[in-house]
Amino acid sequence: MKKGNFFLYTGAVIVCIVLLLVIVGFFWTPYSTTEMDGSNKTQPPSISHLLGTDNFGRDIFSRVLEGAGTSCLVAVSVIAIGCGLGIVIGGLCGYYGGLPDLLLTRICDAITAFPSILLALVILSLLDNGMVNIILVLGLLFVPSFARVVRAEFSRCRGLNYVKSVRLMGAGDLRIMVFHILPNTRQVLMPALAIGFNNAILSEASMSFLGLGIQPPNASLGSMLSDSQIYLQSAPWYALGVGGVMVLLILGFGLMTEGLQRYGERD
Amino acid sequence: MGQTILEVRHLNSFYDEGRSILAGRTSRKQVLKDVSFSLYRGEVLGLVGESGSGKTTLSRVITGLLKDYDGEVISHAQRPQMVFQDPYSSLNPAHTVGWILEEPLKIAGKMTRQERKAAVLEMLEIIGLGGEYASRRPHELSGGQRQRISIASAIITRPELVVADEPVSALDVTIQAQILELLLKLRRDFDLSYLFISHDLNVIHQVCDRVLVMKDGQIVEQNTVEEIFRNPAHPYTKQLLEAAK
Repeated sequence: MKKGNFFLYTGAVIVCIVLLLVIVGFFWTPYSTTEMDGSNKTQPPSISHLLGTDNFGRDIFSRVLEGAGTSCLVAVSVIAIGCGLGIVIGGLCGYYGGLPDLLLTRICDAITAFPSILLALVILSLLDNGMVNIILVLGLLFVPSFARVVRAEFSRCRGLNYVKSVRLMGAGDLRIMVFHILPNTRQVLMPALAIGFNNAILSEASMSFLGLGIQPPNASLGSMLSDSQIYLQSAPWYALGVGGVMVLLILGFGLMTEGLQRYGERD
Repeated sequence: MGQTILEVRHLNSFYDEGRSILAGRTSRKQVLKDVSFSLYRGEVLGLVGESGSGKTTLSRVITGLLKDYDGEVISHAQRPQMVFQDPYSSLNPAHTVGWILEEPLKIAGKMTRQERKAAVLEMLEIIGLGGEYASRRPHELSGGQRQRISIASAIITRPELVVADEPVSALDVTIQAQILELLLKLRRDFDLSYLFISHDLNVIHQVCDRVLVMKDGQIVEQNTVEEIFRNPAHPYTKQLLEAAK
């Protein structure tokens, strides 16, 4: 097995296991995620409660499943917005160049220059909290990272001979962009997607940790981590369980990124 | 001589060397100076000259890639196509050979799906590769095979004029001979005319009927290939011939 493949496979296996659990969690959890049980407060992990219970007697494993699901949903939506807009903006800028390209590139640089958490905090405190807003804000903040790599590829490819020859055949700009250049961005886009997904998970967790993201009684990994810190000494499994799942998710995607990049280098 | 397929009259072209911030104006360099010539149907017209003499600019003007020029370019050929020097950047790495060859036909939009597939397979046979290459990707092919594919994609829509810009310069000598042979065979089978650009006089001698010699953006001599090699008139042509020996 080649080195790049090892990273890719290990990462993919971890990601698949976590995602499988998350998908199961959407439809079924061992216990209710919101129902409280006064007789079962802060129980350590056991057979009946795999990750123990929290301060309200709720099963942590069930809540982690739901929380990870929410986090993944937010991350996927954020990436969809960021990547979609990023491809459109980066593609047009890279292909046509000129003044609009210069302006949009500078705007992207300006957005990147701000710490994204800070910017998201400012915008979110002006808007309402809640899932839709956090998705929109983070999505927009993620546009530059995709626009940059897509722009670079488009601007590199537009001068290549294969683009020149289809232009001679009478192909329109849209056809050239969609069928001839876009498929060639796959190699830079895949690692960007995996890194972006990680960043989105972390950003959502940070926002929720600070109380600006997902609101109770709904759970996300960030808000649960925030709840758990008070009980770090009396119920350490709470923080460990939630943190562990987050680490697994990010490790899995990180390994996949590394694998994809090494895989790409061989070509 | 037969019908002209391309006439170029008093062509001048400039190249912006970039804006100087202090002077606030662009300096322009003249790349083509009063270039005039005709290309006749069915002939291979060679264009020789050192790098920087304006050969590639001329090819870009003729094919329509460069629209900023003064003078007249009268083309009786529909959409002249081009074969490029570097066989590595002239095929899209994201697609299969079959897709690459089908794309010009899709753009032309005159054939059904079945007709296009059949035309692609036929073309692969004509260029001597065979139908099984349709599913290959460019990175699996050698330089010579790639150049065959790029020639095929240029002529699959049956253009009348093909501009070949140093089509064999990046290839080994043995492969060069095969590609030149293919180009000549396609000229017979498809009734093509070529503008054949090269800096290599031996290659020019093998394929061309007439030759234009270019220096510093000007055509300094034009004649049949025999005359050019036997009695070069311009000192620059003599120099080139000396260097090629």
